[in-house]
Amino acid sequence: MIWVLLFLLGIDVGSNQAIMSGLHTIGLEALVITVGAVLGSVVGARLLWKWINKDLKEEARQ
Amino acid sequence: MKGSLVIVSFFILGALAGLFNLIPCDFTHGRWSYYALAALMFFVGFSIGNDSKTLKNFRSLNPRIVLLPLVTVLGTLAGSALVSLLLSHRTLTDCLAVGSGFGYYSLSSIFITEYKGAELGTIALLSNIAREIITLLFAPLLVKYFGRLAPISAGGATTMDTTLPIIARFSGQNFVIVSIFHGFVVDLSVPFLVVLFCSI
Repeated sequence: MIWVLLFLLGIDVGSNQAIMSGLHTIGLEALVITVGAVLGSVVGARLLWKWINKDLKEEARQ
Repeated sequence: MKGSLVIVSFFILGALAGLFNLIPCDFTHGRWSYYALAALMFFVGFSIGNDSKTLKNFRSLNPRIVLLPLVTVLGTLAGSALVSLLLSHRTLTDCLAVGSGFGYYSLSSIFITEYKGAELGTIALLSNIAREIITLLFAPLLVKYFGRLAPISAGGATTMDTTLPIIARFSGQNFVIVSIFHGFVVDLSVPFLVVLFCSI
């Protein structure tokens, strides 16, 4: 099912002149958004990880 | 990984077919992609409802770690919002919609194409494929600098299938259940968040 959908999106993209001629800028934008999204989420993960570990250490001390 | 390659090659095949006009143009203006999307949503719901093991497993989790999907969602949205400041010709909601694919590129790119057009849909596809690839490639580095939960957050919606083996290896086997639970919750949030950011 997903194959069909992605094939349809591919047809849309391939027949769209504006997208095909700007493919490298689109790729770059995509990458920039990804890097931002991943960095945001791992910073959050780090904060949560520290919070959980702090709790574990305190439990160990008691 | 092999599954992703198959899916991506279908996209490339479609792109080539469109580029060389192999398929009559009015085909793409029909309602085909809408019906296919509705069917896809049915299968997504079905596979989640059908998997009783994930539902059972999350009762055994450390209460704090249950917050991880929320942290992933908030962190991703914050990061995407910051990036929208750099990309002057993209609106805040465009970037948030792309970001809230969380690596679930098939679903998010199709939704975004439906609501915002093929250009942003393609950005969503590339961006979310990149998220999966980044997670697969950089999992060890993420563990080193951001802790053991980082590859799970980075993997977003993919942590219950494609990136699970790499997470098991670099975060540890103990994190497999967390990873599946995380993937399950983030997966669920994708259609809601993407549609939300596409419609505001």
